[in-house]
Amino acid sequence: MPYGYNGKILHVDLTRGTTRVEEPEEKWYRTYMGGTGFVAWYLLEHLAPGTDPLAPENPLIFATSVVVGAPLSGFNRYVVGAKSPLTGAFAETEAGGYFGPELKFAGFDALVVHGRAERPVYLWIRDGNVEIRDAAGLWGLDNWQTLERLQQELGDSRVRVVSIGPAGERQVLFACLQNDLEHFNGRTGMGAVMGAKNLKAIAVRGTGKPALADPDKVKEIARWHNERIKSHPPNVGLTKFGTPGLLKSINDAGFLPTRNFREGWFEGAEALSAPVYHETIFHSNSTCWACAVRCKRRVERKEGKYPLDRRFGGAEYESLAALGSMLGNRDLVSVAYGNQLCNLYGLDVISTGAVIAFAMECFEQGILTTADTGGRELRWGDAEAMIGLIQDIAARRGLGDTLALGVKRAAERIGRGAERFAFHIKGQELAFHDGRGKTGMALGFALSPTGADHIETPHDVAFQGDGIAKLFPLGLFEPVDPLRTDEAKVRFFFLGQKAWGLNNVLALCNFTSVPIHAMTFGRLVEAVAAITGWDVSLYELLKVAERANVMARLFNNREGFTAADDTLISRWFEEMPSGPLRGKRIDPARFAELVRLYYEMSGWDEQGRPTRGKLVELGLEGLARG
Amino acid sequence: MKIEVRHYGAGGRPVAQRVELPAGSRMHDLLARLGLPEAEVGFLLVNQGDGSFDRVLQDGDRVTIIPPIGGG
Repeated sequence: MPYGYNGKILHVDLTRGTTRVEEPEEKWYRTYMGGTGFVAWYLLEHLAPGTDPLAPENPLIFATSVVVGAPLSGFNRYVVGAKSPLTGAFAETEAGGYFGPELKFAGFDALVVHGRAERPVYLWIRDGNVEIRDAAGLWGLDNWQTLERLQQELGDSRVRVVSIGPAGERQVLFACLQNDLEHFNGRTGMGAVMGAKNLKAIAVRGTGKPALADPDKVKEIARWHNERIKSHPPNVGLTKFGTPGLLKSINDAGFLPTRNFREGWFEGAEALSAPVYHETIFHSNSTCWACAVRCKRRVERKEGKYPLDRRFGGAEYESLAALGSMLGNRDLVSVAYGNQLCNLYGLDVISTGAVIAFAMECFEQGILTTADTGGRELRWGDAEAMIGLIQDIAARRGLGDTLALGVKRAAERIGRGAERFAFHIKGQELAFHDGRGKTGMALGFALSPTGADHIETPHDVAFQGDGIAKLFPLGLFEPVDPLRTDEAKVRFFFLGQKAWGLNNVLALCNFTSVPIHAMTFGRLVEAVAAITGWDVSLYELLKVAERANVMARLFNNREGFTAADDTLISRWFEEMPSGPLRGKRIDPARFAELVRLYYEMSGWDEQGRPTRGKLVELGLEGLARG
Repeated sequence: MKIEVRHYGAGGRPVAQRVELPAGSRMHDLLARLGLPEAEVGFLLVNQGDGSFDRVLQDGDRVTIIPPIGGG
């Protein structure tokens, strides 16, 4: 009998209207464990190279892990993946909330959606049963209306729903998925894949729970962890201020992306900072299943032209940068309102902010004019222009239809040199951390299989000075200098990437389980063992993370990605023009050397292809042939 | 008692200073002396171990303060 997981993967074929349950053996679960590992395995197994990401053949995978459902803070996320319509590369995007554990409670460790329905449908999964239901009445509704309608229709206010909004239906290439209105699988355009399948929503309700191998031990770890969360400063900060608490310090350090990555210091940052946020729009904390950190923000404002509703998810750090500093906008309420619109329409707020910043810079440069914008002037700091573009992108109206393609393809469509201001890596817009101030994170941006991604890489700054003590268990003893580009930086990234990547395999939250937070490496290993009954080691877990990353790399290699795609945006090769990091830049030739060194450490060849030796070590030689 | 403080921003070079505090002082007393609001403290270490806001400090402790400038 399995512990921690159900031993069941649900497959739904929307073209045929059929469902089946796969029961992989224990060895498969222990080899891949969940999240990125499951996504990569199904993509390598089920998708022919070169397939259109919006074609029915692209499977959409919802993966929990062998530990999701255990009552531990930060252990209950889920990963959604497919081939990305935004990048053409491997896609995965994680969210917290309640959907992941509920899917486990309903009897499934993952859901793989194949094909395309003829008409809009939703899935209703309840305690091992699944129905494909008509969603004609839901099509066109925003995420809030969809949730309300489904809870009414199913007669259960505790049903957990993942849905797409109008942006996903219209296949905006950076459309996202949401659950419970506050939690988002934001990146890589999975909302467009779901929309292309005519799948509006997935409702799930479960009353079972996978058995735990050692429930008393799990309880003891949960008590220890939750107690520590109350006093451990990084977690205390997240509880009190959430991710908005990062903004002021990031600006003070000089790497807050400002006006389309042109600068790293925003003169209006104070107006977007946590104290102002708390005084003006904060309503209350929110959280994910079983999590004591409660980092999520609810916001409320009943009056004015930008009303905020506490049900729709408050702005995070990334939203404040996306619709604030990136646009030169210091009007916090408009930023929170723009974030709320993105949540309701189902737009990834990171890519949305980036594509609007791109449009504003193109307008400044005369590449776009009022003839392209329907008469709207796109000036830095113009909140009304920002709100209007969000609405136009979701509706794919006017210039919004072009911006809905993401910056890379929008620049190709606009022409006139627009690509000079279209900042992306592998086609994905960057999250808001300037690599000139965190060169290890810059390596992560360049090497992430999903394109620029800030979640699956350590951020250098926490490991300065004695901070490196948190990475002693990885064999790292030299304090990190965030600005250096040397061999030590590659070693830091190479080892750190596996620890951070593990979170995306086990579907853990970085805000409990990266080394600076309350969970420690030692107790994490104990927790996985207590949940699954497996005698796991940190070595084994990090190898599982490496295996998932190598599988994603194999996927990208066979889709045609090469070493040339493992690079940074041109702006980071130029000197920072102002702020505390004025004059700092990354040397492109030096950076390329670091990438090659990473390949060598990884057992990859000069083109970034895993060698046969590496594949055999990880047991992937069979998948690579596929 | 004397506390050695290293306060990091970006760039790997901390602002280092020695702070004199009465015996029995706690971390939040030190932060108050430095004029550093809790909101600007991301991560605290004492002699390479985890620090907390109410930890009682000892003579000769080395305190590392890193602002919240990680991922979001």
